[in-house]
Amino acid sequence: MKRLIPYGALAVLGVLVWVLSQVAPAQMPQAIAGGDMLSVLLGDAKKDISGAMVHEADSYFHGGVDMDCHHLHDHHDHEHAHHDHEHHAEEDHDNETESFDPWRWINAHVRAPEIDRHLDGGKAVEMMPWFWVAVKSDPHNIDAWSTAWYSASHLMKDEALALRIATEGQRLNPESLEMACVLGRAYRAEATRDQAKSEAMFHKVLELAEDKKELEESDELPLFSALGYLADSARHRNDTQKLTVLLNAARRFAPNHPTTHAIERMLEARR
Amino acid sequence: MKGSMRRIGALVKLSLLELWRRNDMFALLVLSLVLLVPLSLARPFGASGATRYFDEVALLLVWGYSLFIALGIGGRLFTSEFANRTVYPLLAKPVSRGELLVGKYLGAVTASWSALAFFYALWAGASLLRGGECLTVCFFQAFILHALFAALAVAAAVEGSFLLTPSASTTLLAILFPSMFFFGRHLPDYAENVSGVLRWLVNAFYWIAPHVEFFDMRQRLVHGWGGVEAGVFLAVVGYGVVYSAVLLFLAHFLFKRKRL
Repeated sequence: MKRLIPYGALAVLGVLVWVLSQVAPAQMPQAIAGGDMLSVLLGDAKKDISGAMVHEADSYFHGGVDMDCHHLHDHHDHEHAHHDHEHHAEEDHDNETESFDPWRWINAHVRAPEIDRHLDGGKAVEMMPWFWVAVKSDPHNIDAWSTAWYSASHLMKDEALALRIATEGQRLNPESLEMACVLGRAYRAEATRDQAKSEAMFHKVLELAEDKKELEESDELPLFSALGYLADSARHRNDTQKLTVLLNAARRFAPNHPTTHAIERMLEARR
Repeated sequence: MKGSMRRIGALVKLSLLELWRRNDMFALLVLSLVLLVPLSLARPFGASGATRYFDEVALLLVWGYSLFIALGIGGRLFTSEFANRTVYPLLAKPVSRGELLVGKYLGAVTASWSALAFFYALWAGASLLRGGECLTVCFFQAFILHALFAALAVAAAVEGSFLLTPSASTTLLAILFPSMFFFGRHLPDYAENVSGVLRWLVNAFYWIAPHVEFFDMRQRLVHGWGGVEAGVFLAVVGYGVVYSAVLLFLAHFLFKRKRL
């Protein structure tokens, strides 16, 4: 019976950590200001854990094969993915011709990297637990939030789930252009359509971009996506004035961007 | 020969009884329930239907337990005999050091395998309850390779117990085996990023260290890939048998030279 004591203590400790992480973290003495229990326990390691969980979700997307590359992050550019698979196959072939490594050969066959299948439809739900752990470990992992939203929306076709993910991700990352854009897109989906909320979110993207002293490279995609969606809505409403405002904004950010030219063409077509 | 087999058989039975009389298995079972029951109820983002994560975590736990049991049994196989001085009456009877080593090793391996079979049966039961298909070729291959891993771990623990103190040996193996399990296949990549003597050392380690990751078929089981080709399967079986035999041979060599 004495031998059970350490295991029992471990179980009690686990439950205690879980309870403390759930109950009123703001009322507890914090080593890191504003941080929750996980922040206190793990510090910066939680970012690495979060990244590892997204990587695990990516491997699930590839049917369990660890691809060591993030196709899912590129939002599934299948041509690109296909090219990479071929690239890996070529590399493996080159390695085989260089020198035969029996250990590598066994590992390659046991872990079956030649299997090229992707999770889609309802099966994509298998990735959700890893995304969930990723965002719990690091709520500011925008990649995790946006990829989870993409999986729910585009692979599982579960727009309600996608909206829940986008709403929570945007709530926890109010300064993120990408999360505002993701939430705007989630509101545009057919099942959860709310044009006003969608446009409000795209406008928020523009406001966040205006407030920034210098835009980062990662801000470009959500910013011009938001401009594109807003321009498209204005075009459907024949709102030339709005299109002009959007064109001016687009020119301020990047006068030669394809989206800027697209808005120019929309306006010219109206004149 | 018949007498030798009978003596070895008695030692096997003794090891098997020893494992199941201890509370380790019960404690591991309780720990599993504490970890897995809440995990099975999880609904990430409110979505239901995900099962693979549960299978993966459960199988990872089985791997951890099997290593814990194998290193524990293998590590105390002879150290307790030496500490309690019970090795003397054993050797005073017409039992050679080789017979004692083989008998106790087989007993420890049988005990490890019985624990492994118990955990795989639980995993298969849980999978069947969720409507999964588990009694496949892949499942049996995974079990056989996992059993070979356990045999290798016991052999390493026995050999380590002759080289180092029990705690040092167990600690070293408890670091080595998980490291190889998770990172063993990436060693050539690490070697490419270093130069000089360190590269040579990493490469040498890659060729010599036990590649326990060969025995890991979790991904195949969890994602339903199907079994490995017969040639690959036999190559891994051969690797496990040869590696365990070499470790046992070294253990025998050290045991023979040991002054009692």
